[in-house]
Amino acid sequence: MTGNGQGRLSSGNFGEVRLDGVTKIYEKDDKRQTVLEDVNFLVERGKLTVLMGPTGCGKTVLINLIAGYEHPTAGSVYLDGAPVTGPGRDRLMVFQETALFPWMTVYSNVTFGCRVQGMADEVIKDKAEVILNKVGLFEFRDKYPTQLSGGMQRRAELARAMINDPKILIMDEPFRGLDAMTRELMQEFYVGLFEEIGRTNLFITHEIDEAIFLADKLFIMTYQPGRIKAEIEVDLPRPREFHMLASSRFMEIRNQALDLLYEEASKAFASGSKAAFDLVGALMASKDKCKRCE
Amino acid sequence: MAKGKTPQGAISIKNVTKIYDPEGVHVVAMQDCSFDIAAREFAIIVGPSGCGKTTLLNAIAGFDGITSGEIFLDGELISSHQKQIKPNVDRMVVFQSGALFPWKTVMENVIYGPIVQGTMKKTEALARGRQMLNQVGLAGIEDKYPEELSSGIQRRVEILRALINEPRVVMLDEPFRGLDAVAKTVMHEFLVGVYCTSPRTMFFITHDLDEAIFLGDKVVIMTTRPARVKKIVTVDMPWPREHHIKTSKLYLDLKGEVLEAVHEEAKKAFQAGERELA
Amino acid sequence: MGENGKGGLDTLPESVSSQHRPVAKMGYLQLKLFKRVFNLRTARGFLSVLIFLALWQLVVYVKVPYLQYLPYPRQVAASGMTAVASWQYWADWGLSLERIFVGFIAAQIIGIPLGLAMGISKVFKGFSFPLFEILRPIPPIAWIPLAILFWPTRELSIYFLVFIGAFFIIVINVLQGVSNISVSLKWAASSLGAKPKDIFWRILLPGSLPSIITGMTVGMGVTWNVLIAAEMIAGQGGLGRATWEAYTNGNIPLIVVGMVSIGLAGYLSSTLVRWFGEKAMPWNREV
Repeated sequence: MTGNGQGRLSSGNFGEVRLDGVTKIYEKDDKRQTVLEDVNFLVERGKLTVLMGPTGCGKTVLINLIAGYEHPTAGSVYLDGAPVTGPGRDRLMVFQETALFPWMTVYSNVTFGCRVQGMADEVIKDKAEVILNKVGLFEFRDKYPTQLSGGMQRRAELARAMINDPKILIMDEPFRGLDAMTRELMQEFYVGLFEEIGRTNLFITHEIDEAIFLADKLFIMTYQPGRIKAEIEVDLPRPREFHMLASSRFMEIRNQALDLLYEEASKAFASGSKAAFDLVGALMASKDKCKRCE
Repeated sequence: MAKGKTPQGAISIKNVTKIYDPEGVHVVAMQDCSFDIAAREFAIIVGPSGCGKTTLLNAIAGFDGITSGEIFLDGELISSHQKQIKPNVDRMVVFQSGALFPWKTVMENVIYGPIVQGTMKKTEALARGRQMLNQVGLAGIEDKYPEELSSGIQRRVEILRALINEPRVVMLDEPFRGLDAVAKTVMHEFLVGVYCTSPRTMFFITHDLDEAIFLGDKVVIMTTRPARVKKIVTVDMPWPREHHIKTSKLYLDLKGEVLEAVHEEAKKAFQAGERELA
Repeated sequence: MGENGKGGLDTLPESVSSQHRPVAKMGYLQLKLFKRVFNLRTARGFLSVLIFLALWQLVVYVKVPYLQYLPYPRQVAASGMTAVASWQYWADWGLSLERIFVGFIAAQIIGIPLGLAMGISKVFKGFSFPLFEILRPIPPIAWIPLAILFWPTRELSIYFLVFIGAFFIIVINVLQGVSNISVSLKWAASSLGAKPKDIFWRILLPGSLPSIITGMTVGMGVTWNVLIAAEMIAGQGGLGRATWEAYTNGNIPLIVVGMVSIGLAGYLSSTLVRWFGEKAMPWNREV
């Protein structure tokens, strides 16, 4: 079951984000590009919501609107009923490319938010110790980001966000670029944290196995312009464990999601895909053509 | 293919050990690794990140040697401590990132091998190239340059470029890494298609376990350093492979088996890695 | 006796008394330095220098046309020895270094804030950048006549020229440094609660530090160029002036000594900037 705001790690005050008829249009020179159109989207309180879609469908723009880095052309973004007007400590993001401040140590990075708030040093030290131990980086607190591996950098960024106890944590394809092994372990680590501490999480990815492994709810977006195409309830039990990837329910959900993604992706796909299908189909029809089956 | 001709491309890896020694730091990448790949078998190699899988690929391809042990191809010794056979079109490699010649068109890329080797006349090569492109539905792109095409199409052209040389062994090092779920599905269909049309031994390295079981006849699971064979899982499913098999009980059982083994090794490798950094 | 066959002093036996140790230790350090400087890799470099010197000697000896008036390497060395022993030589060093120091530091003090302001405020940039870009292509050396005319003293005009040399470079680098800071760093900082002044002091300034150091490094190289030209034309004293006077006096070996000295001075200044850069950016070192 999801966490209840364990001790000092979270106050249990989780947020709910709602997008109401959100449209985002970019204008450059004479070109107008409608990236998002009439998006209605709810990120449920305390749940891990995953957002998927083909490259270029506007996922990053959507989360930028939630974080307050950009503003919608039409429609509104609400956090617990109040409209979002700009960046804030209640909505923190872990970016695709590492956004650790390279000139600060892990400790300084993680405590940045607290220091900028003017918190007392003793209080900061306590909080930092707890969170650094949680992410397993306490011994590395005096190292610089360049001295850490990719996985460790991501964990540091998680710590930097979580220490401020935001109402929603947004993860923008955070494990992209990590090697497969580190990625797997980061997924386990991250979902473990979520299950233990809880919080409203919004996670973007284009890796389907990652999406299903993590999610309570999975949303698929359409391709240009972006809107919400479908919502899939991922009813796999928690705590999530890796062997679930081989369960039939997992594969069912996977196929469902894949079909939806395929529909959207084929809009942006050049020729070849259909023909390959045809080839396999043809092979099935006349088995003697398949030399492999000898 | 003439009837009665023995299929080729059987690989035999016997007690291979590989030790790297950069600046006096003795690294045993592989120790006593042994397994066989039958002729025309689709073999998948999985395991934690490290030098093991690429070591084998490099040794079979002829890019790098081994410290001890032997590797045979159709009974002939191709790699040992003393001997290292040179790279050859007989053992073609397809790498991870785009290696198409950007200054050549698709067709020029595809027929490059036979032309440069002199094994085919230009007209013959063009005809064969055209046939291969047609077979996979890529007919219209002959005269396009790689940068004009999507990465999915580029990958497929690269694979065709390798296959036109009719190698005994095709080695692919995570060729579909980084592609999203849908693009991968298309790649798999493509690969199954070309493999079934003219089967040859495949040595396929990947981290994607669905890919491994969907494409493979056998999945060889490697341990962390020093690498050796942890387990070999035989995938006894009919060819040509189709997507619906992914929900079958057999598939799920196999996936579970492979998953458990790989996960175990990944954890060990990760802990070893963290200790190195500290 | 040491353990290696060369009879080296790598390991001292316990029986060596303490009074012998300092001498033995020094020998050990010297051996280490010797080994570091003279080994297989540097041997190739040394060989090419030796060949160069030999060719030089040969060219003069054989009286190759046009090159026959070059001094022999030996003459240059002798001239160098004399110079190094003279007080005037070191005074010239001092003068040149002082001019570099004043002009360079002035350029940083004015240029860095200017670059930052341009990087942060679009309005300010719109106002100042066009003028800046009109003046920038003028080579610093082209400023010499005007500088001499308008500054009350020669020294001031030389300081000014050195300043010009470093100024445009530092401003353009700082400007680029600020705009190169990834937007996600600024966003992350805002989300975490940083106010504009926090963003300036904690993000923009440290974030543009690498570019500032680059601007300093490049600028330092250019200032030497400008200085030598300025000294040759208008200066009193200084390494450039001395080299020029060696020419007008027909003392060719001294010209070469001057050149080598200038090169060395430039190298030392650049090393200083680089050292400063390494100290200022401890995070750039990867473990």
